Amino acid sequence: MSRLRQFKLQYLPGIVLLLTAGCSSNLQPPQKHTITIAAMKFSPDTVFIASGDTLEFINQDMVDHDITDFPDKKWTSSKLQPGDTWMYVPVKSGSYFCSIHQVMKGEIVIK
Amino acid sequence: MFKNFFIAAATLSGAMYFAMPAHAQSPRLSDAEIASVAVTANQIDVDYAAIAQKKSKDAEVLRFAKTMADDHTATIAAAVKLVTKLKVTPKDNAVSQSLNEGAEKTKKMLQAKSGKDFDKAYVDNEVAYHQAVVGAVETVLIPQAQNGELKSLLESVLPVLKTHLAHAEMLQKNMNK
Repeated sequence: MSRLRQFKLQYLPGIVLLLTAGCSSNLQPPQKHTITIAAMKFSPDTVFIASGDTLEFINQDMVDHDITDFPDKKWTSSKLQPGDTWMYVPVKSGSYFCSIHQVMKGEIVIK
Repeated sequence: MFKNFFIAAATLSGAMYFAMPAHAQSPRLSDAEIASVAVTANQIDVDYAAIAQKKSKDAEVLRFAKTMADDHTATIAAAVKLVTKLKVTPKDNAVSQSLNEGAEKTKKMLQAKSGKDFDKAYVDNEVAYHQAVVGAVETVLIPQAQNGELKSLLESVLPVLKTHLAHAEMLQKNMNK
């Protein structure tokens, strides 16, 4: 039996299993997570997501809000009027706030 | 209750709010009177914001003043929409009159200041005013409102007022550093 054939027989099933296991977790479709803005709070105020997941912010308050990277303001939504919705796919974990009402804060954790 | 509240508010803030007439101890307010107080209290803070937007050059103060103008204008619109639906005409009363009298004095005080003195006076006043209004909404207006939708509107305004108060306190703290 050639060394190559012996290697294939010994290790190939394991390699395939590992690759398949890796692929199956990566193939999970991106999820959507809803964050409501109500009573001047982001709810939930901390969200745990996977890379590629989408955040949906819904303004259920009677006043305008926005969602802005904290503290560097690297990204921001446009102003969300009551009833408006905004979608965002975060690329890294971090904090955000409403730059209109600066005491309103939230946290994004990418697992 | 009102008298005690207004004295407490004035003592806490050193401001000139809500000097109640002697005959107005523990007033009972109708829904029409509560609507008038709510609109008056919101309009007063819109007026303070307009003064700040003219006089201040501080970016944080200007941003805060714009938020006050926008939010309180939105609250007035919601109140007007509701009373129109309910066919209630806001009724002037001792509390709304007292609010307006106090506001006139405060506006004169603000108009007389400039620069950093103005910014400090405006922010100090916003802290005191929102403390007083939060207390009034929480302990007087919500408990006395009879109509469920009016009570619900006041309850939804309360977190807005509390957020304004926290924001004003944050500005005040930063100014005093």
